[in-house]
Amino acid sequence: MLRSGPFTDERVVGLLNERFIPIYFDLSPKSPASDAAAKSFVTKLKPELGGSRVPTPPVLFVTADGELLGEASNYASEGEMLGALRDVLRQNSKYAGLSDGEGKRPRLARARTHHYLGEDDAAIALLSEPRNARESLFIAQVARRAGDLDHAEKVLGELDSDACADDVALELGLIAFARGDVKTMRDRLAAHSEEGARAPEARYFLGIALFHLGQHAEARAIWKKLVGKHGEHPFSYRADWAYTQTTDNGPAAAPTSFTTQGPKSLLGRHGYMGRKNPDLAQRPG
Amino acid sequence: MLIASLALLFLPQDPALVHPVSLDRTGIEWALPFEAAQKRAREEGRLLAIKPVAFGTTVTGCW
Repeated sequence: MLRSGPFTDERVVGLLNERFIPIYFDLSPKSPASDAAAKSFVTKLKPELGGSRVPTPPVLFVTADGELLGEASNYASEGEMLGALRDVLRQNSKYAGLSDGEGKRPRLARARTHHYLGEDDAAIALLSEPRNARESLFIAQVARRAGDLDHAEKVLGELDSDACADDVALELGLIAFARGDVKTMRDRLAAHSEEGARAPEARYFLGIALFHLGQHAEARAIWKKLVGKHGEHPFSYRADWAYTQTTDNGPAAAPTSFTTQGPKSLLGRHGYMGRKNPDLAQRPG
Repeated sequence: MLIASLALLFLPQDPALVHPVSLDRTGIEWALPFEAAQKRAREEGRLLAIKPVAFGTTVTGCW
């Protein structure tokens, strides 16, 4: 669930990289991702994770000396994970300081870190006079995430840069989605090229737009192609999540139980437990 | 001997033996193994963010 949810959010990924030491391991000693030292460390904190049948483990926020300071559910939404990361830093500020050389980075990088930490005023203050299209694009993203869609659209409308055409198309598509205007969303995202760093995200949301327009089979075809082309990308997982919860005729019936029997998802998963893909829910508009 | 060594280089690795983090595309800079992560957390004054996976990693890193 983390890969299809919180790990699709650059703020979560950015905070993990800039303010934490992230590690994962498999509790099974037979897995290539096993780590005996990690398991020993974690089972002292969470003895219930030491058996052969264990509850789904959360993400644990721990000091190097083994003090457990917080945790976030494996099924947390992007917002919940972001809140958990920010909370544990706020409550334990000695672990939240700047890294060596961080203050000397370009101002856009510093603004991004403020944004990840939830300090949007500080982020915007750093970029009060945008010097280039990248800075303007970032200001629009901050406004969109804060719900100030008019301002986000205005900033993007003032941009005149072919170099950012794909980013602008994606941002305008996401703004339209936030407004519940899925026709405009489709048109904006269809203008995005199939290449580029954010192409998986753009293709995923193009599928979401088509799904809400009733073009269910077309949406699923886009998600299937995305998974085949981009493999382990987080938006492949999000597409896989959407694919498993839909049919060519609309939303799939919710499974009554989780099973390791039966067909697997496009990415070979048994299913997605915990919650429904929020992008499939009806939006106002 | 040389030919045998070259052949080994070109033989496909058993995917079951490859740590799935090599395929990871989340953008997260995973610190592995645990001892290295713990050392960094201590030196850099950071918290560890540990995700234990319940018997779920596949050869593609899926969990």
